[in-house]
Amino acid sequence: MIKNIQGRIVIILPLFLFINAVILLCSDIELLYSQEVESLTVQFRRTVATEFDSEVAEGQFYYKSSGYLFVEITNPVSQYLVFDNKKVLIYFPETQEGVEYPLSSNTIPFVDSFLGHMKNDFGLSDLGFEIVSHNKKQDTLFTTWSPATTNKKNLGRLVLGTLGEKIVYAESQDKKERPIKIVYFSSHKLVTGYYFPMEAKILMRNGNQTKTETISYLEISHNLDFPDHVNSFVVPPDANIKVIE
Amino acid sequence: MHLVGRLKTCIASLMAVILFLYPVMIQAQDAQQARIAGMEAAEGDTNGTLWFGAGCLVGIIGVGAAYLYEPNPPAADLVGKSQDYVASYTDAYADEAQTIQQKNAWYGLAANCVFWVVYYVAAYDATIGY
Repeated sequence: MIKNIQGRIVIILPLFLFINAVILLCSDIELLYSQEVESLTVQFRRTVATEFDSEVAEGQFYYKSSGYLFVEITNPVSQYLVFDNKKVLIYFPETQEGVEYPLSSNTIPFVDSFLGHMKNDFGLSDLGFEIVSHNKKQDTLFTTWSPATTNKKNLGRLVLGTLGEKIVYAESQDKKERPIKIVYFSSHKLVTGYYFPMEAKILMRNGNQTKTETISYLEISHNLDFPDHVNSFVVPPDANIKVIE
Repeated sequence: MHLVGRLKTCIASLMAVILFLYPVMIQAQDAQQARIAGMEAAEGDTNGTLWFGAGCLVGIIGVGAAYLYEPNPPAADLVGKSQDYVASYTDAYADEAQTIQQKNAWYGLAANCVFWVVYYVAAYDATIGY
């Protein structure tokens, strides 16, 4: 009987150690995947379509965890949009002209929507939103968020749809709970522990007109050095910048 | 022959003028579209009721604020747009938004004045009656 126990220990102990090692290794991989994002570089193509026409813009945006955002448009024009210190600078490097004014709201919807995937609740808790209801349709969990009391006069509710760890749907409503913007996220890719969408479709209602914005996030890189023209971007002293206070 | 030569010169001159004017026309069209888009955006974004309330409750200070406050367009509307478009759009947006602000603030102030006139007349009548 002792022999049997010894024999079992000889077999079970290494197996136990092996399983432990695998678990530890997986934890290390998990740690590696969920390393903190200090910066993101995302290449995109944006198509805006109304009933009458459509426009395409291509470029990349560079984001730092400090909140600095640099959007470089390469097609159809060469244009920089720099968001920093609650101001936005729209600059045309070829002619060295631009306009700068205070930023009254978020940066750009298709960038904010993308960056929101770095938080489980899309960053709604940080903005003072609270869950008021939830329901499940097939495998998607829909949660309805209400703004903080101080903002209830200005903001409507938000509905978030999550499929596992992926945010697949976002809807913002007006004060009468009618949808004013609906976003569908698809083709998610796991990058450093976050599921980022590779495709987003934004439907916006503006009066009687509906505008459709389709964004393809073509390439996502994290914690890479930015190009020099982004890293050390400074408006030339002889540039013609219209500053609006 | 002389006439043909003159006709050729005339056509060539006309084509030269059109070629010269074409980019100018396109630029003007771009600016016009930008102005329309900026005005429409300002109409959608500006809260007229809020400025009516400001004129009504705060009076002349609300009207003054309507002249001083200069709203700016969301940057998303200017992504991928040309320099001329951005310039025309931002100007049109600010102008239209300020027009709406000022108009509603004045209406609010007028409503405020009407209220106080009616109030004092009613109060005076009540006093006389008493």
